[in-house]
Amino acid sequence: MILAACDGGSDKKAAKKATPTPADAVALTVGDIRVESGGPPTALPDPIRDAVMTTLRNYVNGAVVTPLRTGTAAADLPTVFTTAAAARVSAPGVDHEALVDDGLPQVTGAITSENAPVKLVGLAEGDGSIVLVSAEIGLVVHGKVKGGTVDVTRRAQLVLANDNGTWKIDGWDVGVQRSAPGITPTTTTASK
Amino acid sequence: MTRTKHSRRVRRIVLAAIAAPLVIVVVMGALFAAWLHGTKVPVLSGETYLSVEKIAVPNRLASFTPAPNDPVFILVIGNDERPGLAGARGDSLHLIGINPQQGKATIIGFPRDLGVNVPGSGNNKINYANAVGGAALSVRTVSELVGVPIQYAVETNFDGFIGLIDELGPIVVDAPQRMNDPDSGSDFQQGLNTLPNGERALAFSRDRHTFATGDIKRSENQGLVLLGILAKIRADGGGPAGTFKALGNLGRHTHLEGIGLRDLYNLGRLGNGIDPASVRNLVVPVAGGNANGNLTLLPEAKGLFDDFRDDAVLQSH
Repeated sequence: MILAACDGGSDKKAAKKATPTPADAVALTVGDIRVESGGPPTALPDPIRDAVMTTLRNYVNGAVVTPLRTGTAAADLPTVFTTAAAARVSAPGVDHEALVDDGLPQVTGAITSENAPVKLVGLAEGDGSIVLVSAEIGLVVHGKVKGGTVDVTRRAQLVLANDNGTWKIDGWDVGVQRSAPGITPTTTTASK
Repeated sequence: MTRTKHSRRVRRIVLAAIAAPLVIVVVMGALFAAWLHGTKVPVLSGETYLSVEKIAVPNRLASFTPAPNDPVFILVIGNDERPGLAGARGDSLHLIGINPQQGKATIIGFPRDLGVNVPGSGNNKINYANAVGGAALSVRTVSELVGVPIQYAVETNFDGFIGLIDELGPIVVDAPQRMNDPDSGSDFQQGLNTLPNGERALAFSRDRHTFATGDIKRSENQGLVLLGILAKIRADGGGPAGTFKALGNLGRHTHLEGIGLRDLYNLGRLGNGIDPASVRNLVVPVAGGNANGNLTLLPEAKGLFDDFRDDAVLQSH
């Protein structure tokens, strides 16, 4: 998701604020799509595909890019999760540690990434209605910090459900590796 | 979601692996039915062979859904349905309790000849409930006996078991002793045995003549098959997408009553969190045990049920 540019002109204070820059391009693209159906073969409707991708990009912005810039997750991050999932992610614990990149040295330069295309798998009932979507993401993010770079590699299958008309993250199988200057590299996994 | 019900004739099962506990319930249900049936029917695809129902629990919400961390109780029924036989006796009955918070589960087997109160029919063998009242009456019978709200019932027959194992692939069981029974086709060494297909798994599950306690030991051995299946599924992995694939296969061959694939997915995720090594598998303590006699609950069964009831985990048994 491309974030708004900050005003980096004459105001040094403003430039030091943790505002994402145009260079923070952590783009997600759609890869393979298939549907596992409990009835006749069916396809994933484009509106669902687009809605899922929007949620995923909001998740990346709120849980990855914003924390790398500011040290904390975006205030609206819980909105990409269902209520039950948001409660687990918001609370301290392995789910939060695996899904949110806060607590790392703040990135001062551009955030770059190499990301695998997102694989989407839908689950359809016998009548063809899509009830769940699994999104497989491979996210490798880098950012320059004082003394070196911070690197975050995340592999996840995020499960999204239709929550009152909005596709939200309801479950996950995720593993993340992080390294940064002065910090012992960590590997965290979580499953819901 | 409800599908058109198919005639309850001999069914053919082509069942892909299902994340536990659904695989567990399917297999267990088919085991006894297959044993009683005694003949192998070729497996065909494209037919409905399994029924999964969400049960309306008396005195609770009509559509009971456990809270994410509450224990879940599922009754597995294997019936002996076959041409010429009125009704379908519940010859395989296993109550599965899952505790999501603790990541533990318990399987309690009920031998088919166990005498119990069948609501509306008085004292009868426990398998009689299914013949006269289907899964609903089997659930009510076991629920009242144990004192737990059973939220789901899964019923199948002989063919389902064969197809399930054939789809799933080889499983490993630990035979308690040398098993050799021409009647069932059982021929297994003591210790670890790989059951390569449904037919061999059926032979293992049907054998009662090897054992002095007959049907009771057979029920316990069927629990071993369940655990072998659970271990197999966990080893196969695949994450959510893999589970979706299995559910798609299941959905095409299952009658779903009051439950959809999303519910099955959530149940499956519960099962994925269960370590097979932490699953307790036992048969209710009964008196009797010869091949032809009726069985009665021993007094210690009450303590077992009390221990099981609060959280589906046995602390003192």
